[in-house]
Amino acid sequence: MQDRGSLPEAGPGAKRPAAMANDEPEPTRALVARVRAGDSRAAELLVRRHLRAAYAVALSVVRDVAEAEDVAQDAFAIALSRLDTCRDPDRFSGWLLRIVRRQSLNAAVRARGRRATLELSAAADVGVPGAAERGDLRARLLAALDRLTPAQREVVLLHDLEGFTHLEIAEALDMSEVSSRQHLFNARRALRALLDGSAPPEALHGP
Amino acid sequence: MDRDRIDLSALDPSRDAERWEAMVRATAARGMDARLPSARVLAELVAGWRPALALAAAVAVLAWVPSLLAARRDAATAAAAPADPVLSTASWALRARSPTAADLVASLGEDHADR
Repeated sequence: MQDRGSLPEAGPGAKRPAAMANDEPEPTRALVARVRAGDSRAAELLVRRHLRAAYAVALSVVRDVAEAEDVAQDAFAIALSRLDTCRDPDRFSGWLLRIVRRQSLNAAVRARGRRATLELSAAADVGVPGAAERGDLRARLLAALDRLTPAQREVVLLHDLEGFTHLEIAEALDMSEVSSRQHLFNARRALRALLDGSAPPEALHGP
Repeated sequence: MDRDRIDLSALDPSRDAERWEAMVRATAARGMDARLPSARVLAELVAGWRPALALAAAVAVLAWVPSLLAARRDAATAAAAPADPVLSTASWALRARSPTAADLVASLGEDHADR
């Protein structure tokens, strides 16, 4: 997998925070080695470079912005603490995203329990308009993402939010580049239809 | 630039740069704190290496002193001990010489000198 440390920062997914400008091309492998040696500054660079991808994967699973931020941070902290077990630092991104996905699934299971309780207590609130109807863009996006398959969500978030290439997605998520392209195509089509309000529900998941 | 890209920037946590930066720092700090225990144990082992070696050397010397003193005492005793009468007599015979009075006293031991 191409090292994200050497990728140009381009596209919406590349709208990095200003501090990113200093985080130029030191390869991830070198950063990993520095973190292993106890370099806190390198840890910060590593987090700055990969936390958005971690967040994107977490969001694709937990489908809640605040929860995804928490999960991404927790998973990253775990990854740093276990960095010595990352056998191929060139594939740090894939290794990290696997940890994030595992943590996210655990968080989703916990959240499902909480949500079931909340839904029971909110069952009488039928007349209250949902977040999507309120026109809040974030809520609409989340509601639309919710209709995608997990793979479509992961791919579209990594590609359109974080700026991953199909090659990077393929290696990080253990799928082929063709699958990644297909998931992205279907996800975009479904999201557009959902956001336009013209989505036939049966057409959302694509062929 | 990909024209088909869906604008997901509303979900981008790094839009609030200040908050994002705080999140990055906090995450890195948490991760490094979690790494510290193993690193600290290693550092303590390295730091404790020399004192441990010095202590081991001191214990070895202390254990060795009694045996050294015992060895010296044995050597002194051996030096003061009378010569073996058999060996002395054989030596005189081989050299074909008569023992002097002093040889006889030494061979028999000082205990016999007064008798």
